[in-house]
Amino acid sequence: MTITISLPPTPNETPEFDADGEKVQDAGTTLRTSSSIFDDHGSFVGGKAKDSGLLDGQAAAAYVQALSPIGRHADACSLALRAAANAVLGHGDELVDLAKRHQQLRSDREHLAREAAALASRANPLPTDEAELQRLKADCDRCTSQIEAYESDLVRWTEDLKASEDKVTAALRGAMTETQIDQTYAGVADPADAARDSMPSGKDPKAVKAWWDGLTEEQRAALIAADPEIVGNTDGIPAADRSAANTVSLDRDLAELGAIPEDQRTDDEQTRYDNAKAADVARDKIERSKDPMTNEHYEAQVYIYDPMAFGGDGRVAMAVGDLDTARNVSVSVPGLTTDMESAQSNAENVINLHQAASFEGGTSTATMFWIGYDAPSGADSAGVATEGMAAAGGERLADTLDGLNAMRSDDFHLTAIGHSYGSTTVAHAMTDHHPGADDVVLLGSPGAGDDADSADDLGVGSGHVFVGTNSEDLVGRLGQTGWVSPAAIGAGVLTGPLGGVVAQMAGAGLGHNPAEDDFGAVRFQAESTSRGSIPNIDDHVKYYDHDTESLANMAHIVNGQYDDVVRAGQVHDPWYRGPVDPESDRTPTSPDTDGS
Amino acid sequence: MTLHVEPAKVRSTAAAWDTENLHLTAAAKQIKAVGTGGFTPTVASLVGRFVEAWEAIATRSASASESQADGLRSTAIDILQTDAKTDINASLALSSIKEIR
Repeated sequence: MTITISLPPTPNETPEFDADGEKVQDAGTTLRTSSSIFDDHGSFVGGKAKDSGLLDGQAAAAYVQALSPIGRHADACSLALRAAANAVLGHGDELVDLAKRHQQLRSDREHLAREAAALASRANPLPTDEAELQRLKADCDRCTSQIEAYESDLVRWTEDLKASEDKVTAALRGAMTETQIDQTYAGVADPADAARDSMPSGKDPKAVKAWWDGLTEEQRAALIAADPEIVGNTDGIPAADRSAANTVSLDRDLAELGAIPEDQRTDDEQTRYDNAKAADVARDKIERSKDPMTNEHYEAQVYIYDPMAFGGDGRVAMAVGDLDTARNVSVSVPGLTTDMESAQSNAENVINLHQAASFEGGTSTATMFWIGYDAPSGADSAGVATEGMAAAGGERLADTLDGLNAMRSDDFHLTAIGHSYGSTTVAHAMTDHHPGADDVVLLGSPGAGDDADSADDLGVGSGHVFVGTNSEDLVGRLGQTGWVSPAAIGAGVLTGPLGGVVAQMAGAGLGHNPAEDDFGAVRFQAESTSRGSIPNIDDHVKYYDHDTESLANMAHIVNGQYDDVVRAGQVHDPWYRGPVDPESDRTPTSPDTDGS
Repeated sequence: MTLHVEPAKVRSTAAAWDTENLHLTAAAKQIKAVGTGGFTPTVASLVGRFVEAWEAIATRSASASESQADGLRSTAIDILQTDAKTDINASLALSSIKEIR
């Protein structure tokens, strides 16, 4: 019997490929932001610029007549640059995918070349045993077939790269000169216009999601560049698209306002610029941080960006991770002294929380800080003395939580976390509006709001209302506890900006202390190894610190690892004396939360 | 006698054109900063030329805005100077038409 053995060929080399799709995406993002500046310029020329203040008929008419070609050209430039930006962004996405495939091809090629060489060795000299010859033939045939598959993948990869390059070069070549731009784009309707006109009038996030899903890809891309303020801040629109839009707004503010000399900025321009810079620092902080388990850099999603909201305090929400796809999502609501300029410290908190969640085994997490309400800060600090700002904030937070639920079609796990006055805000959102959160965490809470008599009132089940209160956290002692009036605490002795706000809270009556046994929530351990010996403010701001009991327990809650949450004894209130906190006698621990 | 110019409006619209100049200059700067590093060699040189072309386009648009601002102020001043021959208010308004940024 004759056995024919064909040795497998040496696979072709994988070509060099050092393109960086993420850098290309950055280039596309910058071009899109610039297109947005042209878009605004077109709107200005077609609107406000017409109101010249010239009353002389001939001069006014000449002025207005001259505007028409300028506006037409600005609109054409906007559309042309946007098209180029979209082409570059698409090319960047394709390069990211091609890079992954290239890595796989290279690895396949190395493996197959080794295997082909090994088979050549086995065939020289040829084995004499027939069974061994049969095995060699089978191995050669299998390897040849794998090499053919590799070669076929390599051809496809090469063709896909060329197609992607051809597409982007065609787009760029079509918009290189102003003549080309005017010929192709002047007078062309902006696809953003029709898309904007079809937007639902109410703020039902499900209707918004349905509308957004019904748009073409071109319309969505157009709206992101032309109306970033709308897309970036409308609940129901997916987080990735909101973030793309808010990136346009934020980068445009940084570029435009940064170009105005500081001594020539108006007060509003300066406020907007300061808030933009604060948001930029927070974004940068997130993107420079790494997941402790994968060592990969985090990506930031800018979920809200509204720098002039609340009289210049601003609104901003930013996530570590992907809000559209993460299995576990948390929303952290800060309290006292919060405005947009505190974005950096809030970013640090949610970075820590994400890192801890990852360290505790969470593999699909997004942690977002939410400065989405007018929190007591600066001159507003007097507002802390009432629940008004928390109640109004609760409504806004409920809208955000509803929006997150509407933009997701899957069943994900959502945790709302409130710190300090933010815990009162979270409690109001839950009791007054019943948004679809799965778990609630109240940290250093001055009270769960007047509308919540017990944990059950928050609507998620008392077993899903978690409370973290350091026993020496002064603010955590301000809620109504049994018969003790919070105003009885000698808050008047406090000094400094934060102390003054706490002093006001002492008499505010922000509701029940959620750490008390009567409230019925799950209290978890949240002591600090650097805990003070008397009630103080320092212990109010340690909950998100690494290697603390509170961060470890919050990470477990965010991950849905309820059995791992270390319970703490609740505050109780015997008739014969003041409230008793059993945690004050326990020696605090310092669990590792990030592996460092 | 009625003025042929609303000085406050001229001032604010001209200032808005000045702001457009600054914004478009910022766009030019932004475009110039776009790197070609991430692209394949086949595309990179074209991106370089594209960036150069658009930096120039944005710069020209910025200059055009500056010209609009200056032109508007200049037209208003010419009209007010004529009016000033017969109207003291026009004389007073003349000094308010000046470049802010």
